[in-house]
Amino acid sequence: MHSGTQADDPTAGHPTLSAEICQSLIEQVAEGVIIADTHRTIIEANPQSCMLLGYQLHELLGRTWDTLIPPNNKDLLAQISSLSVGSGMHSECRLRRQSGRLISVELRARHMQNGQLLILVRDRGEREEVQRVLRERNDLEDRLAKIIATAPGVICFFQQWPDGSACNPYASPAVVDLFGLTAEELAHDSAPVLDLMHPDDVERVAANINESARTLQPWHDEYRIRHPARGEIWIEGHSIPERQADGSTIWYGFLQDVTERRQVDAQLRENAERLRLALEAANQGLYDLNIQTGEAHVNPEYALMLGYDPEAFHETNAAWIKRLHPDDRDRVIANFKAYISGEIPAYAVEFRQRTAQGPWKWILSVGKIVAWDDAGNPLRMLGTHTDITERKQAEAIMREREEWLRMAYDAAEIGHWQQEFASGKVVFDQHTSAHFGFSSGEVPAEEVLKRVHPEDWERLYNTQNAALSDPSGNTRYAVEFRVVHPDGSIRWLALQARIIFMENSNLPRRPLIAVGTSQDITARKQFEAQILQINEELEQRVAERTAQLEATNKELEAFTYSVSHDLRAPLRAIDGYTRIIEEDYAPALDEEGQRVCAVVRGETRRMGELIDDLLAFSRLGRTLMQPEPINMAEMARAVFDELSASLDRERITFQVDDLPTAVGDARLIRQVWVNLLSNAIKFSSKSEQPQIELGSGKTSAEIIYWVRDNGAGFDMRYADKLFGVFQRLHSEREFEGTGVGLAIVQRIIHRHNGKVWAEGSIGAGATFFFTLPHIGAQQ
Amino acid sequence: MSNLNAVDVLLVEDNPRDAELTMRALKKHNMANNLFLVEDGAQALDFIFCQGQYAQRNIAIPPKVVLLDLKLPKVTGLEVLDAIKADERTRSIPVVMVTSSAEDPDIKAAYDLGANSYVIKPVDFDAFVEAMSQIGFYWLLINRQVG
Repeated sequence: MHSGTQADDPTAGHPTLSAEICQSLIEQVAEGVIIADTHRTIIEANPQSCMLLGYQLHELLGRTWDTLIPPNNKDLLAQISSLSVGSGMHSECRLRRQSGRLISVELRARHMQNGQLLILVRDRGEREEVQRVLRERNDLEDRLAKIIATAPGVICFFQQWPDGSACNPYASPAVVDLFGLTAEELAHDSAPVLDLMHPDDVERVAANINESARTLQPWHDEYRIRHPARGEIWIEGHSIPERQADGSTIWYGFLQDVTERRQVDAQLRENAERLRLALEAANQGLYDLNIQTGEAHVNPEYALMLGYDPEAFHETNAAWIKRLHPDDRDRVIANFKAYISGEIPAYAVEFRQRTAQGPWKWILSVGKIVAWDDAGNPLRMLGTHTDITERKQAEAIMREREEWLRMAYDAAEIGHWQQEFASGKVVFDQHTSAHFGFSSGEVPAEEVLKRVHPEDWERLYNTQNAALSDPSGNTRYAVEFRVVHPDGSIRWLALQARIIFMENSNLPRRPLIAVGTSQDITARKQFEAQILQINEELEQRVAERTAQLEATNKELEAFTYSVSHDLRAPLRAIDGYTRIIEEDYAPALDEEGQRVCAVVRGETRRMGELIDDLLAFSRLGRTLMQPEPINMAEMARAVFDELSASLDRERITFQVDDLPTAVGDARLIRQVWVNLLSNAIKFSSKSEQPQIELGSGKTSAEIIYWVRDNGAGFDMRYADKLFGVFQRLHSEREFEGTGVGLAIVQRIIHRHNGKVWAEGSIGAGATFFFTLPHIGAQQ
Repeated sequence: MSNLNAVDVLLVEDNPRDAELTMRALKKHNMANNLFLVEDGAQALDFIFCQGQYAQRNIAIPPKVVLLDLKLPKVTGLEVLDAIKADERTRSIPVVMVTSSAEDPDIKAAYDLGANSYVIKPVDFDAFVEAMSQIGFYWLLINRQVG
């Protein structure tokens, strides 16, 4: 024992006690003695204190005495620390040994006059310790029971002997819920549980138990039982085996009902599988990015999409950036950063990535941050990759088409517009805006209507209404109307529109928007107006001309009337009076005189014929044609009969084949037959055996009729003169005639859009042809 | 003609030559004995309706036939025809249009107004004579009238 400062002199009051005795006392006494200085540092300690507290002396010296007090005993600490000088305290407490173990002691402490602290410590003894331990153990057991009662599942012990017999030495009360069996039932035999077990699991469970018994490794298994109330449930068990002295093995562990957990697991597996399949089917790549490290987990589709082998592929943020197309890089990175920093609410971006093979692929990445750290920094991001190459190509094609369309529209200055019914807003493109005379591209519907010319409002309104309410669902309409520009000018517009309805089987059909095009047709309208005006003028001129022509016609008619009357009368007189001379003054007339009279009369008659023929000829142009089907053979025969005297008919061989029906003015065609047949009769009359033959032929466009006689014929060299007015190829002496007959025939046939011509040879007869257009082709 | 009431043929003709020739033709066949000539439409009407200078005529004793030219001064042939055929008293008098006009409209108009016959004066005198004789023969000898 070192001698330090003796603050409390034990010899004071006890003069016979010497320092040696004090020292011996301290060393020998059964209690532990500790002396500490004002700084709590232990400066003296006897062997007993060392033994009690489990320290070596040098370990104790220099230590502060508060380290001997258990940390949770603050009262004791305070009690000792607050001792005033000269006062002491006394307590039954526990101190801490060096090992940490606590010992029960009786403790006395005194604050000495010299400031030092004297501590005396007495071991309270094993018995107390044991009692305390027992109490603690009871407490522990109580707590344990409470824990077991609240623990999910069953805490139990399972014991199995080498011969296979088994029991459950302990099972917590929850065993009733789990198996429907009581602990008592199982305490001697575990067979009831085995009876409940699903037959498919029995063998495996038993094998596992035996393996665990053999190797003394922890046992874990899952098996099914038939619960008396709940049906089939899944039990999971964990336990640790311990070999017993009698050769049996006891497992300490717990069982729990994992039916729900298994279902949930199964569901999760199913979901995961579904997701995988869905991703596979949709060709979606999946990525799970650790934002801090840049490492990513990806599914096989992700790798395949980029042309990599999924097994060998390892994705990082850096690798992903490297694969980006240079034109997309900045945009994508900016997007990513903006999303990470929270500037934009969602991450969805399209970009090109280089595939393993080299070509670029368009990819859509949609991602979401799913985890942050405490400071709010994003940790983890999940997302998908979709191959949108095809879509991008389609978009490019569409854009090009749109571009063509826009160019075409621009060239034609066709504008388009859209009207929203709900908001009453109308949106224009630049052309339609110009058509209406607006400068902006968005105008309320009322403003647009204000520009419409008042006279056209109703028509516009009615047209749109008709389309809105057309039950047949015809939602298109077109309308032309005028608009008045702010500067007062008026333009004509043509509008095409289509109304798009909201189709919902539960609600009545509601119009959503109207879309359409507009065109400025002012120029066209002007042209139309001009044309109308020109037409009117033309009509007027035609009317005037017609009136003139009618007047002329009337004059001609009067003229003809005059001629037929007035010219004939004098002729009659000449003829008549000459006859009088012939009759009354016959005796005074010699042969020559009579001949002269005959000549006068003959010429008179001729003049009459001329007049008749001229009249007929002129009338031809004025007659209104009344086309009808004509039986040509019948008409020809009738005309022949009329023209020929009975004598002629006997002499002349008249042959008519079946002639095709013609369409023409019956009166005029009759005249044709009259003239041709009378010619034929006249010119064949001098033959021995006069022959007149009628025939026909057909081409694709016309019917040809001909009249052939075997009479005098004519010189083909003068054929073109045949049909001239007053043209004759024979002298009056040879054949009488005025030469108008054929001209009349020609005129009539020409009016029927036909042709006439003749063939002949001198002395061998003539054939006269005329054609009439086919039925139906006659106009 | 002394007896205006004994007229068989009323000839309405403004052309003296035609008149002379017509009468000569009829005379040839002895049909001109009771022939009376008027030179215009007005006189024709006066005669038929017993007016004016012919007031003393008896309307109940009409001529057997009227030979009427179309083209007449004062009152036209069609107007005369119309007047004759419109009046009950004179409607049944046969009226033969004897004229140069072969125009259809004239013919139609005449028949529409009730002409009994329409004959065209030929230029040829012989034919003319023949026509006249046939007319006379028919209307004076063959055709029956009332009373």
